[in-house]
Amino acid sequence: MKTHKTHEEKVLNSYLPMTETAFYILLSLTEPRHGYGIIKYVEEITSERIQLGSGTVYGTLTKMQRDGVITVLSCEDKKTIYEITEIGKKLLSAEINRIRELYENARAHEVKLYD
Amino acid sequence: MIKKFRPLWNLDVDNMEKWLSRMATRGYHLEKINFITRVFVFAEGTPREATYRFVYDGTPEGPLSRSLVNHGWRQACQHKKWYLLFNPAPENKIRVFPARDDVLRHTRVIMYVLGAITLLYAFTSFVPLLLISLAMGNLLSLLHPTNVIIYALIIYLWIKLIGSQRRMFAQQGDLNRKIATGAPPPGKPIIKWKLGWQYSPDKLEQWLENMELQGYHLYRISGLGLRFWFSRGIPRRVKYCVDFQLSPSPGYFHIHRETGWKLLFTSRGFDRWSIWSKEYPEGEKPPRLYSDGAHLLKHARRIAVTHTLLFAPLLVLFAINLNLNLHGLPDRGTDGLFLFNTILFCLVLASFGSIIIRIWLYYRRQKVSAGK
Repeated sequence: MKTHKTHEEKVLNSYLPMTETAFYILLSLTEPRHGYGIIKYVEEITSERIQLGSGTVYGTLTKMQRDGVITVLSCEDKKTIYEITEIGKKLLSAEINRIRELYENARAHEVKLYD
Repeated sequence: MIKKFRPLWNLDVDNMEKWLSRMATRGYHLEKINFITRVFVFAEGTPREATYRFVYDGTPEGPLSRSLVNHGWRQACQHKKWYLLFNPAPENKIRVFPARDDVLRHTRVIMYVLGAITLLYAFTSFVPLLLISLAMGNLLSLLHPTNVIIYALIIYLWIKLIGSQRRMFAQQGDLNRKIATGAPPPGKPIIKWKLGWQYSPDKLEQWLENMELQGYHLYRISGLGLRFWFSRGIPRRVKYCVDFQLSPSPGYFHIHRETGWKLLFTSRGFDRWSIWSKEYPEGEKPPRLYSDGAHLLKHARRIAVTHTLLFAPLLVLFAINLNLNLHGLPDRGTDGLFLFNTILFCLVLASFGSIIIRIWLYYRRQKVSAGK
């Protein structure tokens, strides 16, 4: 249990704050998707602002798999699919809280810009 | 209860899984594996279908993800990073399987270890014995029973490992590594030679892109990556990407293909180089394999560090040899062998040194371009 906690802490410390690329890739894996599915989904939810390169996605997924943030599965049609793990969910949740704080502080101070 | 001894089970994982399934259909259900003694213990019961998968997983959570549990997978046993997962359904009825990525990576590590042992044996035992046998004109000593057993064991282990690696790769997409081929275009091909492009891959990309802009369409690269075949056509815009990966998983080939990249070359040795291309219309931004500078730079650093680690020890070794040759034997004079060795060592040092310099210059170019 102690090892588990240490690993989780290590992951949170090394990933937070997340890059926009890593955040959107992990966000898209809240349901299992294959590589191309991740790219299309991120394009869709960011209105094509973020167009991820397949090398970037593959590199991020490989690192996340090695750190236990995501897990890799193989489908009957031989496609590789990726899924978030429990540690991955904790990481995503911590990053969402950080972004929420960022957003709320930004909103609170935004009005002062126009005073 | 029956026990079966399988000492080399981890060299032939996929065949072991099939064997466990066959045992289940004959009524022998795996009870436990003694990973130390390599004994598989079975309990007798009703014959039934079952599918097994070995997984190598170092994460604290283990390999049983939510999707795997939802598709009927359970843990049969575990030892350190090795897990054996079990599904009570026949293989053709299962839709989701654990991926082979980590087992493939583990098998590759075993292959490197076996490669080192093979080389060590070849240089310390086989080659000296061969030279002595040739000098004595009697090659029969090479066929001493102990030697024959060692040759057979090494060959057997290589066949097992390579076979297992290929089959497992094929389970996750047998077309993954296939290079884009087709009928050769009509007309006389233009063949160009390129040596050492691995040490400045960005220059190869630029050269290929310029060739396409001049109407030279690349359609084939030789197996060693030395010869490039072009056909004449209309000028076109093609983005090339020379990519380096230490141990690409099946997903690597899949993801690039799905996003429209065409694989023109992939090496099979220690250097895992792949050359990808993608045509794009005029007026559009060229497609990118790496969409952010940080990943591009990381990729360049991986190339630079890996090749430095590969060539720096050789550089040091030849520098020591050169030093010994120049100062180690002061009374020997300057005979032919001394001159030959000095020139040879200088040439080798210059070539290894230039490789390391070229590769770090490439890294610097990428750093400058990422900073822009």
